[in-house]
Formats: sequence, structure tokens, C-alpha cells
Amino acid sequence: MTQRMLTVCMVTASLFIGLLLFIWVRPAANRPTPPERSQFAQQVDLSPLGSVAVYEQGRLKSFDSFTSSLMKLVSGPHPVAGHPDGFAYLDLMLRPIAYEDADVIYVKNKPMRREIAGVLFRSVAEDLAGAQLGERASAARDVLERRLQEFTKTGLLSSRMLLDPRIQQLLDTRAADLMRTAKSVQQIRTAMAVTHPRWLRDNLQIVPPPGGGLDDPWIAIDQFVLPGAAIDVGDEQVRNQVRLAWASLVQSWQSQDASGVNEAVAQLAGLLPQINRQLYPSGSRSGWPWSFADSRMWPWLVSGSLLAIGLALIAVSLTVRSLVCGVIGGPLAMSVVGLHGVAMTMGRMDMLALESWYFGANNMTWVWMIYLLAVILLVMAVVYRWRTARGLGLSVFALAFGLHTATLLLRWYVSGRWPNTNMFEAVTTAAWFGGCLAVILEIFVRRSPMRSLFALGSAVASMVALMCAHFMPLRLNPGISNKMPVLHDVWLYIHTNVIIFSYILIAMAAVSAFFYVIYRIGGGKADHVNVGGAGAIMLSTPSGESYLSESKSSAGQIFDGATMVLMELAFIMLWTGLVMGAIWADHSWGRPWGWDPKEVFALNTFIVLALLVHVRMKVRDKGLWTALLALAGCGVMLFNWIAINFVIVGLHSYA
Amino acid sequence: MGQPETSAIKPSQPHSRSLIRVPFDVFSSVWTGIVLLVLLFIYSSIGSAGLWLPVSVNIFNFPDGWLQLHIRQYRGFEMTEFEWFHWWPFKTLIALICLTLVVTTLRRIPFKVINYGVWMIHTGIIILAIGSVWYFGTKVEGQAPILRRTVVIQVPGAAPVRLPAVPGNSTTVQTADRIYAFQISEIDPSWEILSGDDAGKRAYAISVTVQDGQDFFVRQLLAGYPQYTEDMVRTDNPEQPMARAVKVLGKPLVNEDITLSLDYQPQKYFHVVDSWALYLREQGSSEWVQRPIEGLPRYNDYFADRSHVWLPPDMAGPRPNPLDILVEPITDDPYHNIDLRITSYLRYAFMDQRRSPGGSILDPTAVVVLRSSDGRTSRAELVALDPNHNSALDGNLVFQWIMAEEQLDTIMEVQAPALTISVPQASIEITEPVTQLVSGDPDTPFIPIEGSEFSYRVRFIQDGLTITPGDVISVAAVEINGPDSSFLRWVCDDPRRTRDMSLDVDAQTGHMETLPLDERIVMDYAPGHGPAPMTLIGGPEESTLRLMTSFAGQEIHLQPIEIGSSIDLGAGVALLVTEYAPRPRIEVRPAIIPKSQRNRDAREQFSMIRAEVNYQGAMQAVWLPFHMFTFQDAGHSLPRMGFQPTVVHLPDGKHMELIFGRRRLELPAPVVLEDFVMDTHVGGFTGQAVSVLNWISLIRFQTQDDWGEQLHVSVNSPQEFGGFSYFQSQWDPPDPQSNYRGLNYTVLGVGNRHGVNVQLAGTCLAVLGMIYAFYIKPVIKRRRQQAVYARVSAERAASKRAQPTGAPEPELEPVATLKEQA
Repeated sequence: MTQRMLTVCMVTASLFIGLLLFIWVRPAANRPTPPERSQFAQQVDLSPLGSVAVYEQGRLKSFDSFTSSLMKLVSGPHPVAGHPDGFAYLDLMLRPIAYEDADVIYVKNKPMRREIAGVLFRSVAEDLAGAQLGERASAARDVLERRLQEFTKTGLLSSRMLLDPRIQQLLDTRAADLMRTAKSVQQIRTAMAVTHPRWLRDNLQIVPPPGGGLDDPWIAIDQFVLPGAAIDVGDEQVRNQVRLAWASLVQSWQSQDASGVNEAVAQLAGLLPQINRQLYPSGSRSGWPWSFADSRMWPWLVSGSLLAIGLALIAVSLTVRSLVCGVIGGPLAMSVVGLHGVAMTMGRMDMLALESWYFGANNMTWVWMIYLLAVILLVMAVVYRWRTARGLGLSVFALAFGLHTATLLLRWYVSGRWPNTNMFEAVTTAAWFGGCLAVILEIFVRRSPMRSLFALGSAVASMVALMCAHFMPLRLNPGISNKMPVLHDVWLYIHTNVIIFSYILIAMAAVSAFFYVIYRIGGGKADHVNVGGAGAIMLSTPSGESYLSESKSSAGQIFDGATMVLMELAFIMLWTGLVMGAIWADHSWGRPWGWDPKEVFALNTFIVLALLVHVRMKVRDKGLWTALLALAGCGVMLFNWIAINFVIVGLHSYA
Repeated sequence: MGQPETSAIKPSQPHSRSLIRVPFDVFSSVWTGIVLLVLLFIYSSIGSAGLWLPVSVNIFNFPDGWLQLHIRQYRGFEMTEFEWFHWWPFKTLIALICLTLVVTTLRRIPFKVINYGVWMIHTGIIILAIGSVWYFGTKVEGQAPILRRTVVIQVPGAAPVRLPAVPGNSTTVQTADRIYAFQISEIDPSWEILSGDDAGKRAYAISVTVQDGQDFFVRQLLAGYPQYTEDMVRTDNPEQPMARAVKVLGKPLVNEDITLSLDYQPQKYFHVVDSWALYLREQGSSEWVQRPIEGLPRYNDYFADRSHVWLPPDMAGPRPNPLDILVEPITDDPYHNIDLRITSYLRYAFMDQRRSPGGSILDPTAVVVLRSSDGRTSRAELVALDPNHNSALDGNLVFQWIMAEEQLDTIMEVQAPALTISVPQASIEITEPVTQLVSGDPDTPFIPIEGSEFSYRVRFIQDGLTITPGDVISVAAVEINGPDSSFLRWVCDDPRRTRDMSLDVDAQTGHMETLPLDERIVMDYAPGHGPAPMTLIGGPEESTLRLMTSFAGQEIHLQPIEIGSSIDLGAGVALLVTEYAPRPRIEVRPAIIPKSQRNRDAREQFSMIRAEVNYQGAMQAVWLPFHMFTFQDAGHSLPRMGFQPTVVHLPDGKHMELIFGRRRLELPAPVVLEDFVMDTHVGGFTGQAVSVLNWISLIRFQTQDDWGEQLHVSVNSPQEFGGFSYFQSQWDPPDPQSNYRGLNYTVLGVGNRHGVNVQLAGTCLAVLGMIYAFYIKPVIKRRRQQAVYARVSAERAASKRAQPTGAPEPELEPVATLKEQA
């Protein structure tokens, strides 16, 4: 191993570990200490329920997907009492008394946490003082103080405390303020309502309507097993078996008999589809052109796609030659083969089990860590022009992008539609678009000094996007639900994808613009590329060389060139996306333009890009102004994506 | 744009530069364009998202750390987004940008192949602007509610009557000798035909109850299937109280003289969004006269006097700021001599009745505040003589009025609840007070009923249980041991509600099974009575107000109340009467809702105006609530959409009805709703929009002699007719809670779209221009460069060949010239 490669590896490893620690340790302070799980909890195996379908609001979900979205309503980003979501759901339903004083209700709003803690502390302290308990009162106050301090950090409090009349009165008061605090109160009350065993039982709609059709509602298991229920119960023998299995599950759970629970769960998972096999979900319900779950074609498609991308990246890596070829080829081939293995394994599962696996794997948002590694390596490649770092960086990027692609395909498959209908999907899919473009651009610029910059831009954007999805599951809810009626249109795929593609281009441009600003702050020369139309940068000169030559181009020119390549593409894509949105709006709402905030700020983003193009023509320091306006454009785009979506309600509130 | 090749403008000599060139120079400057784009950005941002000011050091705490200022909603602006982007500053900006584009393009960008991209972009934007002027200048947008059907009633000897098909709608038809009453009792939008050739099909079914003197029957009408019209009649069978007339009477219709049929309910108008109008008509007339209102504000409250409104208690309220908007009569206005003026506008308010001292009629009112030591408070306004408002806190606080001191004894009298039990077979009838409850003592023994094999004990009693607002019952849960079984009986004070339940509780569900009522034993429950824990006693003198407390385990205590002074009730609770008026003045004013409590999705739905009606020298002021739609009358109004015309009595005896709403315009032709279909995802409609796949309105427009072809309007699929496009806007959702099946009407969005194709052409041209400027132009330039370099190389090679050996090198073309050629 050469000295340089050793240096690259050591620097990379140090930075990677340091950043991971920073990112993990900081929020860890705000994570609750998980209670020790009981032997029963450890022994219970709910995996058979992974292939049980649950009906929720016009959609059939896997049990894990269903419980995952519901338990987020209870404990927010934290697991309920440290349990997996499926276990927590059943435990809350069957042993509610165990959770009466457990801190499992999540209060999202931080000022409200402080307010609740203040009221609780004052009132309980008064009660203790009145009780004349002496030293025990002081000890109790200390315990309460620690608990409330923990609450202000983690946001978790018990139902019992929240049901205190003084807290209820506080919540009533805050609920009246529709502008500021009503939503927060609603969130708390929803969390409390969801923990109610009656609610949990009523919503466990896991029985397909016996002999019914697609339009008939699914039945809650409680209702199905109820003697004398006024519903068609179909085959009485199957129903009796379900009844016995359910009763056994309830009884075993309440008596903490893990083996009994496991047996009952396995029985139930086998019996439920028998009630109405035709209605039970299969691959045919997906929006894919073929029924992959039945034909077992889809794992081949997944690995085929990955292999194609991998080969494309190998082609890129071949241009780097020598050592790097092996460095890239090895992990890439391994990742593809490994992924194919995973895909084949998953291919043997049914669709619901696959959905459960996907949610159990935290929607694979942890891929951000691989992107982080790629970022570190690619930054070194860009800054120090180290070929080794570039080779390693591209191969790690290839691995991350391959996994990202697999995630996207998996979600497409389990949701039955292209993933771009909510914030989680829009953000992660936009990042994936950036990856696709980076792969193509890296091939084009393989001989230009701009190489690695596009992969770096994409890696940064994807890393941030997946981090947001990973660390903010309440904002970017990964739950899969049906589309709003207005979204059932082909323009959803055209307009939305073009717009989010332009957004990721703007984000990638902001990365190279950021490097340019850093370069200037570090005393770099006021350079810029001087070609009419950044497309020219991608072409070779009449003499066959790249416009940006390896030896003559400064770092400023390289960063400026990359920014312009991306901004010009974003300029066209954003405008085209706006036009497509107008066409869709015209045939959906009867008007092409309604001055909705989302529309106006997309237009504002375009105005910033137009300013960039014109300012660049007139100012002397073209590079700096371009970089600053690219960053400003990114700011306006993020404002549109975040503030307009979450704060300013408009017609696009579902986007 | 796109770094065009600009023609060199020779620097003009100062002395020869004429003033006329200055504006041309200004508008051909790229800097002018940049400044205008910056202004456009600022203007758009402020108009759309408002101004955001940081209010905390932590600017990353978004949005809590920021203050949003909705500038366009401020007093003085009061604009919707549409109005903000049609205000003169915006129009001026756009005009200046277009002017700059035109002048710059013509003066500075030569029309050459290399500049086609920029020309296309600039031209595209100019075309877009022209299309937008046309589009927005003529834009009209509104909503048209269309009811699905109307019932046409024909009774011999009376004119036909139309009854819009809305559940609960009713009418009467009078002939010379009889009065018939009709009511829409039920509508099932998806009723399955069970027999005949159409068995299995589903139809829109309307049930109309018909009361013809003593006769009563229900006629069922199916839209599209008049042949299946039939009546349902009452039977003596309690298991099947209604049966088909054909089975009971042998004929499908009870009275064939009464003809009921279904017809379309045409809609002639659509209501324009973000517009205001006042409607008036003489009471009894069916046609409204519309007067558009110009200049009415939208977002803030304006009123002439604080005494006109109830201000929120915790805020000083907006300062009085009267309006004076004359609502001009229209041409041919039959009521042109009635002068209408708007003097107040409230964005979010509702009419509220409150009492204050100074009235003449005895109607004792007290405001009571209960405070606990932990700071909790509870406030209640009690009206002694109003049974709906004389108690609070679930009946624990009551206000009673006595005419004589002796009535106090009645109030203080305590009577235990009692059960009247009869066993008909044994001729037993006894009344026993309920003294012991299982809820108080789990070991309460069963009490045998002498002379029978029954025994009982009372688990618990619950008096004053509110089932639904206004429906209050008292109930005793009695465990009964019979000769052959034991069961639980819910004995209600209303015997019709008495039920028997199984004592076994399902382990999983916690449910008890309902059993058939055991008629061998009959029980009636009479709830006990006594004073409430806290009873305000007013009278017999009007100034006398006392408090009677009756807490468990304590004696009844009576004490005088001093207004404004607290009375300690023990356990850290204090009672305070803040206001007391034996003869209050009742005032009805609009109560302004604090801004923090306003639902921003409600838009203008809770707005109201104060209109002054001037006629023959007399003036009357009335508050008019906002109406989304101005219906013909209450019978034509749609579920969930109010219809409350305000009646004004004029000095000449006329009664005028007024409505405040949105402007309405005539549709190109009346439209009817033939059918309304809701497509759902798996599992059917769950009450949430996400379970809906699509809404489809099947409509027809009136043509010269009939209803035209059927048009399907659905989400993402509008239809065109008469210069307007029609899109799915709202629908009538079912409400399972109230057993309302919905789907009785649709609301179509209506709008014109002039100039859309021009806009589209402009934007597409701009897209092409961008692609040309960024990606085709560099290729052209590169090819030209290559050609020049090739030519120069060839020339050099040729000259080198022609040059005798030793001659000096020929002079090369300067680089600048080469670039120029390229």
C-alpha cells in the first residue's frame, strides 16, 4: 500500500468516525434510556405477523408498516418503552395498565414541554407540601424534578401525568389558540387516544370481509370473533379457529407466556388469509407492469438495475486506471452480488413480508452513512486531487447509490406507485435523481478537472436528504398511504419529477458554489470559466482538449464551471416544471396559475436563477456572484420546500 | 439572457447625445432588467409569504422564532393573492420588464443564428405576458352547487309542487278539501334493486312520507326507474313495522291520485370567488335582486362603535373604524328607492345573545365563577327561568327562583330514588326505595320479592345521563335472579329504553350480550331528587340571592350572597357571583373571535356586515352573516350550507329579505346533475378523503329543446361548455355518525380560460430558447471555431508552400480577428 493511500484511508477513517460520533452522540442526549426488556418481550416472536395485512384508510398494509406509523403517533421518533412497534401495539392493547405511568406519550412542541413540566412541578410540589410528608416529600420532589427534566429533553411523559386536571386545563387553553398551539395539543391528544386499548382493538382491522368484494370494509378482529356479531362471518370453522387463536394470543399475552403467544401468532397468521384469499394482497395489487411477487422477476430486476449502474460506474472507474480500477471494481461487485442475494431472499417473501422488512430496516435511510463516507473521500479527491481518494470515493458513492436505488425500487414495489407523493418520497427520490445525473455527468467529465465534483454534489445532497428522513421521521413521515384523489394523474409523474429534479440540481450546484466561496475566502483568485453556455464546458475544444485543462485551470474555474453546468440545467428544468405544473393545474383546477405560495416561490426560485444568468453577464467578479446567487437560489428553493409546505398552507399542502 | 452576443454600441459623444436616447439607453441596460427582476422577487415574496422578521436570537427555530407579517392583508391593502398580483405596482413591474426585454433585444441583440436562443426566450416571455394580460384581465372563476333531484308532487285539484330532494325537506299541498303533507324521509344514493329485470343494479332512491289526513305511507322513488315506484305502509307486525303496499294491499301504490315523480334540479348561476354582493327581495318573492359590493375589506374588522359588537374579553379589540360603502342599485333595480349602505365588516364573528342589567322583564341571570386553590377557574352564566341554561358543571351548580319562601322547603326536600316492581303472574306490585348499591358495597345482598321466585339488587344508579344534547335519561342497573336465569336489567325512567343484558362479559371484548326482555317481571325507575351540591336561590325579593350547599356527608346550608365577594366552599374551592340581574336586558350583537382562535381555512365563511337600510327617511341597521351560496329558499339550500335571510320591516309595511354573499353570474345554460359517483379504494369510503379514488359528476346542460349530451366532470378531468370549463370542486360527503348517506349534490368549479394557449405557446418558446442558448449555441460556436482554425491552418500551409525558401514569415491574423470570425 502506498504512503498516499495510507494517508487517505487514515484521514477518511478519522473523519468518518468523528462525524458519526458527533451526529450520534448529540441526539443521544435527547433519547430516553431504554428500559430493560422483560424476558417475555425478548422471547416473543411476532415475525409471522409480518405477512398479515391490516386495513387502514383504503389501503392494505403489512402489520409492521401499520404499527410503525401508528406508534410514531404515540412516541414520536422514540420506540414505545424500548419495544419494537408491533410488540408495543399489542402490549398497549392487551396490557394497558403497564403503561399508565410509563413515559411513552410524545410531546413534540418544546415550549409546550417546558410549560407542562412547569405546571406539573408546581402543582405536585404544592400537593407534596400539603401532605406533610417531611423528608419523603423532598425525595419525591427530586424524583419528579429529574423525571420532568428528562421529559423536557426527550418529550416523553406518561398518560397519567398528562391526564392531571391542571394539565388538561392548560391543554384546553392552548387548544383555543388555533394559530400557534392548537396543533401541538392535537398531537398530544392524538397520542393519548391512540394508546387507548379500545381504539387499538377497533383499528386492528385484519380480517378480510368473508365472501366480500374490494369495496367491502375489512373487519376488526374483535368484531369478527364477537359472538352474535351482526356480520357475515363466512366459514364458521375457520372463524372458530381464528377465535381460538385470538383468545389464546390474548390470554398468553396477559399471562406473559411467550411460547403461547408465538404459537397463537403463527396460527393466526396462517388462518387470516384463508378467510378470503381473493382479497388478500399479492403482487398484483402493485402498480408495476408485471406481478413480480408471483413471477419472482422483481429481484432480478433490482439486481439487474444495480448491476447496470455498477457497470456504468466501473466504466467511469476504468478511466482512472491502475489501482483505482481494482479498488472500485471489488466493492462494487461485492455490493451488487450481496444486494442480489438480499433481493433473492426477499423475493421468497410475499409482498407484505417485504413491506415489513422495509419498515423493519428503518426504510433504509441509514444509507446516509455510506454517503457520508463517500463525501469525505470525494472532498479529499476534489481538494487534494488525490486519485486514490477519487477511486475510493467513487466506489463508495457507487455502493451508496446502489443501495439508494434498491430502496427506491423496494418502496415503489411495496407502495404500488412511483414514490413521489409525500415529503419523504419527494426528498429521497429527488436525491436519487441527483445520483443518476451525477453518474452521467461523471462519465462526460472524466477527463476534465471537474470530475468528482458532481458525484460529490450528489453525495452531499443525498446524505442530507437521507439524514433528514432518518432523523426527522415526524416531519418526513415514511408511512405509505393512498394518494389524494387530485394526485391520480399522469402529470404527477411528469410535473413533480421534473420539479424535484430541478430542486436537486439547485442543491448540487449549491455544493460547488459553496466550495467556490470557501476557495475565495481562503484567498483564491477571482476566476471563472469563460464560455458561452456552460454546455460548452462539457465539450472538448477544437484541439480536442477539455475547455478546463488539468494544468491551466484554477480551482475557482473548476468550481464555477460545475456550478454553471448544474445551474443552467436547473434553469431549464425548473421553468419546464413550472410550465408542466401550469398545464396540470389548468386541467385539474380549471386554471393554470392561482398565485398559490408554492407556485409563487417556485417562480421566485426561477427569478433568482434568471438574476444569476444576467448578473454574470455584467459584473466583474463573475465567479463570486454566481456562487452567491446559486446559494441564494438554494435558500429560496429550501424555503419553498420547507416553510411553504409546513407553515404556509396552500393548494399544494400535500406535496 | 444566456450571455448573448451583443452588438457594440458606440459610445456617443456627450454633446451630441440627445435626451430622447436616454430612455432607450435605460431600457436597453441589463442592469435595468436586473433591478426589475429584484423588485419582482421582493414584491412576489411579500405578497405570497409576507415579511418574516426574527423575534428570537435562535433564527433556526423556525417558524416559532420568526414573526410573519401578512402585508397584503393589512388595513389599507386588504387584498387576496389574486388582487395583490393585479395591483398597479405589479402590472407596472411586468410592463417595465417587457419594455426592457423588447428594447434590449431590438437594440443590443442582433438577430443572428447565434442569438436565436435569447430571441426565443425573450419573445416567449413577451408572448406569455400578452397571454397573461388576456387571461387574468378576463378571468372569472366561481362555483355552482347542483342538487341531484327534485320531487314533483301532483295532487288533483292543486298546482304541481317541486320539493328539492334533501333529507328532511318538507312541504304541504292544499286542495279545496284536504291538506297533504310530504317529507323527504330518507335518501339512499346506492339502493340496490332486488327484483325485476334490473335486479342487482343500484339507483338513487328517495323515500317520501305522505300524510293524507289519517293515512300515512312512504313512497319510494328511484331515479331512472319510475316503473319501480312503490309505497310502503304500516303493519301491525312489530317485527316488520313497514311493508310493501303490494304485499299488504295487493297494489303497489296506496293512492294513485297522488303522483310523485323525480325531475332534475337545474342550476342557473355560479357564485364568483372572492367577490361580495347584497341580495334583496320582498318577502314572498322567489327572485333575488343582486347588488354587487365594491370596496369591502376582507381580513380586518371595521365597525363604527364598540357598542355594536361584543369584543373578546382578553383584548382591547380593534379600534372603531367605520366603513361607508354605498351599495349601488343595478339597472332596472325594482328596489332602487331602497338605499343600502355598509357601515361595518367583521372577518370572523357570530351573533351572540348576552344579558346585562337594565331590562324590564323578570328573567334572573347570574354569572358565577368557581375558583380552586390551584388557580383553576370555571365560569358559568345561569338563567333561572330557562331550563336549558339554569345549571352548569353537570348539574352540580343550579340557579333556582322562588316566588315564596315556602318553596325553599321543596327545594331542600330529599327523596331517595325508587323502583316500582311488578310480577304480573303473581299479581305483585311494590315500590321500594333504593338505599343500597353494589357500587357502594360489593356485598350488598339480593332482596327477595315476596310471593315470587325473583330477587334483585341494584348495582348503581345514574341520574341525568345525557345521551344526546336534549336527551337526558336516568337509569338503575339491577341484577335480577329469576327462577331459571340471572341477568342484568337497565331500568330507565323511560320504560321504552329498559333492556336486559347477559351478566357474562366477553373476556376479549368486554361486551355484554343483549337478551330479550323478560316480561315476567316489570320494573320502573323513579329517580330521586334533592338540592344540587351548589344551588343559587333567587327571590322572592328580586334583590335576594342566596347560596344553598348540599355536600355529601354535610348538612344543607343556606347563606346570603354578596355580589363580588367570594364564598369559601371548603377543599380550596371558592364561589363568586360576579354579576346578577333579576331583570336583565337581552342584547344580540356579533361577538368578534380573537385572531388566535380563527380557523384560517374558514376564509370568509364567518364574516358579516352591518347594513343600513334607508327607505322613506327611516333607517334600520341589520347584521348580515355571509352566505357561500344564495339559494332560492330554505328548501333549495344544501346540507351543511346555511340559509338565513334577514328580514327588515320597512315603514310602508313591506318586509324585505336581505342576504350577504358572493356575486353570482348566469351560466351559459342551466345545468343539471344526472348522477354522482364516488370511486373508492379497497374497503370503500371510510370517512377520510384518502380512501376516495375519484368523484365524478355526470351533468347535462340545457339545449334548445332538451337536456344535452352527458358530460363527465371528475378530478383532473374538466369539461368545456359555453366558453367556461367545469371542474370538480366540492361534494356531499356521507356522515356515518348521523346516518346521513350524502352524495345528494355536487359543487362544480366554473371558470373561463382565455389566453391559455397563448401563454402555453410563450412558455414553450422560452423553453426551446433556453435549450438553444445553453446547449445548441456552444456547438455552433465550436463548429465555427473549428472552421476558422481549419481555414487559417490551410491558408498558412498554402502560403508556406508558395513561399520561397528564406523569405520572411507571412503576417498572421491577430487572435481577436479570429475570435470575431468564429
